[in-house]
Amino acid sequence: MENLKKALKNFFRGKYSREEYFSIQNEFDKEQADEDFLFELEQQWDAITDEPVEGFHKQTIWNSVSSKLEFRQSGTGKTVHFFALLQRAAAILFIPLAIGFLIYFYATNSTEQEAAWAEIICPPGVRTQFHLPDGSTGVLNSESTLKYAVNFNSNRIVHLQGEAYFEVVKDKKHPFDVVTGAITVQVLGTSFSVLAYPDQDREKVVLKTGSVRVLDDNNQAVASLLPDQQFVLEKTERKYFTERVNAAALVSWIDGKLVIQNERFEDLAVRLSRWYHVEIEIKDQKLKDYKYYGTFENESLDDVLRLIALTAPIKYKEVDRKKLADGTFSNRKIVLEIDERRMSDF
Amino acid sequence: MVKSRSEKELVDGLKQGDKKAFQSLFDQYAKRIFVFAKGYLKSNEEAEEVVQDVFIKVWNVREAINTELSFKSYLFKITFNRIREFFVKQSRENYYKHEILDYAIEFDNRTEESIDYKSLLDLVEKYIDQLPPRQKEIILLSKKKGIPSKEIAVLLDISSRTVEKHLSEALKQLKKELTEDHIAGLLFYHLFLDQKKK
Repeated sequence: MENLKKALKNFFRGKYSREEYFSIQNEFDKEQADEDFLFELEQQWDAITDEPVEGFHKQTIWNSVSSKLEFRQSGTGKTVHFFALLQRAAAILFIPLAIGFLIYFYATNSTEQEAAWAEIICPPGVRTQFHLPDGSTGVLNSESTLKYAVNFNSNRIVHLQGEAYFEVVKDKKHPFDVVTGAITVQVLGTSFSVLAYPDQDREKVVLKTGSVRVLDDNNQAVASLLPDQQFVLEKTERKYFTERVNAAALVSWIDGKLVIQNERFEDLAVRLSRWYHVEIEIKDQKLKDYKYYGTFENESLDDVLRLIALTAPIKYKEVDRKKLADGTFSNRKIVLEIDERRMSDF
Repeated sequence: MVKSRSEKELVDGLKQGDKKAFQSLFDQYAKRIFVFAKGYLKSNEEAEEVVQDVFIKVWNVREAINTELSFKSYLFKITFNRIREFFVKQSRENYYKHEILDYAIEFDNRTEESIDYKSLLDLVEKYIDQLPPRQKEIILLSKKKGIPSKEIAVLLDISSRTVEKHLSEALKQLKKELTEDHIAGLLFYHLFLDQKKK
């Protein structure tokens, strides 16, 4: 009894022996807590004084309590719910003139299943910031869609097509799952990005902080990622691997930066075309394998092309836009090819 | 001026769904819960989570609260249960550190009682962190996450034999460092003796 009292005191102040540690662990492990143990603990609880404490942020904790209890979402009924969610879905567009944040809800009348979904759609050439009802946030990349059930707080599953970066709020009781179809990423609380465009063979998961698990389409765990690791799945071959990467660089797109690190021109072209919503054609096979480094921040497509042409042996031209039958013009199209005259300079 | 309400009035208000009363109780007890939880969980983040969970629970079961009993004592029980869950989880997650210490150090009665175990646990963590990246990655996957060597081999695309080799190298290194640092680990013993002399 006296020993236990001393052990509790020592443990509480953070200096304890191995024997003391295990005696306390043993008490906590008991299914039904020991009376004496509870008594000593409550004594300790009562003795806590009102001194300032480091790391205690009352307001922050209160905010998350009241948001989890949905205090701010006063009233009930469908309409209120709709607007409350709409308000939370703030959109920031990185590229001027781009308009196209869209969120909509639809409810089917199926009797058994929870049927209301929210969908965030990011149009081509833009990035969209999103806020989920549980407080998690993130950024959706060009031409991507995120879908989640309206009862999200108790059911943290999002369906992703395209690329998204997530900063997930920790909630041990409710795991956070990102489902792409080919893989599921299971999360506790962490920041990471997932790339899964239906028309691209490779799906990728990059972990910035924390830890995530990747499951295949049979819900079998195939990888556990540590920070600065990337999981890559080749869909057609059904092959996957994990590699070490610079996660900060790979997710820098969320800040409007286009970071290219030793990337093949062919892959670079895919990224540029999504980023700027243009069509890009590479004329020479040789150029497709040419590797390129570069970082662009909020540059226009014309500036980026000019800079690439300065730092690599290429030239580019823009194809004249055709007037289509319905009176609109075709999408911009850029053709890249090797500049043979400058080949020797590089 | 707003007349301050007694705790009994606040709990009555809470029972009827008065959010102001709920917030006053939060203001009054959040810090106590935080300090208590932090004492046992040693983490600001988890202590914060305990405070959140306790108040969410209090709100959700507010109608069943017995106003005749001490509210403080009632909060203690909820807080204890939540801390217990976290503690058990933590000790499961930290199991590998005890395991490594057990491997590296031969504890006897004296060391059981006198080594500052908290510092020793921190030390293991620090030394693991200082291992070469590959060894660190593999020892964490194996010991912390309990993934079998064969699966680690697949995960990292190397042979099982290489995994085993990294693992034994890592353990050997940890054992070496931990013995060298035995003296630092004994600090608690000396402090303890000094206190008694006074």
